[in-house]
Amino acid sequence: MFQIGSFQAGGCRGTSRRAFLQASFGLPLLGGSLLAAEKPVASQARSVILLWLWGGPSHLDTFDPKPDAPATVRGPFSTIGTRIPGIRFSELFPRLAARNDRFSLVRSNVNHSNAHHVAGSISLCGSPGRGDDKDYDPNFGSIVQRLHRGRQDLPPFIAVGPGHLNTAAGDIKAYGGGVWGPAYDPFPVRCSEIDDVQLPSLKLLEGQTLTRLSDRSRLQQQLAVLRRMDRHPGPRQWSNHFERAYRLVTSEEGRQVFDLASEERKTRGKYGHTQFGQSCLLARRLAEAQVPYIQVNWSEYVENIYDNRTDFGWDTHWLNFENMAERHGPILDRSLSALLDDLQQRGLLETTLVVAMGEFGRTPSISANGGRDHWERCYFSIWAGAGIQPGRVIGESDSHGNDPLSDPVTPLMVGTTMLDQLGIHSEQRARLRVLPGGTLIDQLL
Amino acid sequence: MKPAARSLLAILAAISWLPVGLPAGEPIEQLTRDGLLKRDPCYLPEAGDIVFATRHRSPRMVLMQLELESGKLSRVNPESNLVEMAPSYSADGSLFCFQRLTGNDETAFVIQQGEPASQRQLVGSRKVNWNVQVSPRGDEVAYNLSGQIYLRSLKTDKETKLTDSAGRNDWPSISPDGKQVVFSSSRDGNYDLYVIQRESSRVRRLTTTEGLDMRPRWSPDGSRILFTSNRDGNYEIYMVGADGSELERLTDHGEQDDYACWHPLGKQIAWIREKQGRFDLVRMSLPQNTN
Repeated sequence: MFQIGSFQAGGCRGTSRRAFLQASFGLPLLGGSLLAAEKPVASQARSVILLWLWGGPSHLDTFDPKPDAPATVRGPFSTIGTRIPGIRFSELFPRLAARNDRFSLVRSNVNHSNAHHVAGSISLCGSPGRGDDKDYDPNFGSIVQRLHRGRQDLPPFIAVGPGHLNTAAGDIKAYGGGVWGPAYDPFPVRCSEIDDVQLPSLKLLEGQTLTRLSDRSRLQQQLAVLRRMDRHPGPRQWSNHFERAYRLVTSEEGRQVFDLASEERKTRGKYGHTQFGQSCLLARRLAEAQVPYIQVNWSEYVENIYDNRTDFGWDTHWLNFENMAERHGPILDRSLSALLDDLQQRGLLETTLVVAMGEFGRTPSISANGGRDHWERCYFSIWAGAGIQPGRVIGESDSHGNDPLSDPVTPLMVGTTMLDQLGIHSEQRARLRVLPGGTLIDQLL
Repeated sequence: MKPAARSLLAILAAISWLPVGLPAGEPIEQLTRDGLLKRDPCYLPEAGDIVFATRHRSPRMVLMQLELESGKLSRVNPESNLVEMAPSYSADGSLFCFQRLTGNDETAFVIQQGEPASQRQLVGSRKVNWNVQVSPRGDEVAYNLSGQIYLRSLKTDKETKLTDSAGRNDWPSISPDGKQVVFSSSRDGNYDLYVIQRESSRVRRLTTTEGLDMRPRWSPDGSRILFTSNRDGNYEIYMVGADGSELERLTDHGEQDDYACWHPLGKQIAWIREKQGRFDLVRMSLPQNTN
């Protein structure tokens, strides 16, 4: 990690806070030649916001409840009616129940693995890994990044969340570029529940304020020093990484996209002052700024319980119901509802595709530990905006939520649909050798 | 800002915290203003200060103590780098208990007593115990273990399974005389409140509403129970007599009111209120007609 500096960024309530930025070798490449090589294609979506519910949310305790199943399957939560007659959600989601005429719900997602790091990788790139060391295809966002031709001062693939996706069993390999390499990894952004947005991939000069950073000549002098430092032998992509950082810090407009403090207090409140809520708000700002692919990570780790962090991922082997009621349900309900409202009110929902999903669901049968374990055979995803027909329920699971009775939706179909809505169609995918054989989730469109 | 405008803003701010649609009572007083996630407040028996769990200047939940007179906030265990929550005190204040996360899917509860205070960390018979509460008499703790309520004697360390029902059982609170335990259970479909007589094991159902009734807390005199319910669509604070009578709604606004706890004298409650997406500790004296 190469430390370049830090700067004073505006915080909430008008106070000035320090945001730490670091330039890392993991910065994504903005390959100018590649960008120029691709032709733009008309698309329904200008941006995709993927809300990544890391750890695997229970489908039964959220959007595919089974009120008539035995208590050992049904769980303790009541169900509530929604805007769509006959469709019921868990009682933990009253706001989304009042808005499901604005989004569509898939109740028949299926994955190919029940291990987090494997299923997570498959979910984010569409395909199982290859070879003994499991090389994975690039993340959907990496594909978008490679083909991006839009504004150059903002990274085209941004991951908002508390950190690199991890599990106790290892990293998630399709977090970024996969077989294309770390040059196509997302640009990481950390967003705290009430303080500043942090850009750990950049690190600017100590003591700089946003105002002073606007002084281009001064900044360029300071960055010139760093450019000389950049000439030391290192990974080939380093120059490109530096270029990305440089473009961002020298664009006042680009930097301001990350300044959540400029949002009205009322708007920040609607999303909720949780890490996920504020991350969703930042995602809206990024979509507004035409960043084409934004992945909002619920947590860094999948695990629900950890000794030294309160990540509270969706991996609820223990305390599934306790944390669903106390935390996960209310936070997701509020944040996603606010995001949909905000996008709609700003006229952005027509051009922004919002998808919320995890890597799998959880066992229909409640475990001896009082939680639910991994279940890749059936889970949910939520789709809204850009070309998605709202108010639909795609697929149906069986009486206990074990398996889809109809319309199974694979990660390959998820990725194909997302990219297709962004205008990355089969020819381009074939040329890049990604998502081979992928088909659309027609019922959503 | 002109004084008149400042006064108007102050009045508006005060009005915004008045309970709406409630019996005549005291206004709601906001005790913290940082808006950070909070949970599990409890009053210190003697000083009347409040301890709660929050993410104050930390990526993890830590226990903080709020001195009500000065407004000073301080870490309860400043040396700890583990997640800590669910604080509770015995009625005489001699024993302090809280929950600590000790690993991936592992928890323990910590008993602190004596002067100077010594800590004892206890681990349940399974890896994860949750929502631990010490008894007002300070002789045992109650907790949820895999969806059933357990008690553990602090003298003998013996663990006793209190419930063995279908569904889930959670959020236990031991009565001041130690003879009853109130808890939430989904044994009849969804979470409602139940009271179990320990001697006879007889179970009484206190609430029957569709929706989530959770986090019951026994009043210091044993006559009433505070709890959270989403029966109106979002989390609000309610109070019910220990016999199930005189159900009363104490809060009514569009965001979450949760984690209610009793002042040691029973005439005031504190809880976590969400307002404009921010979480702060508030308190309110109970209306006269509820005493």
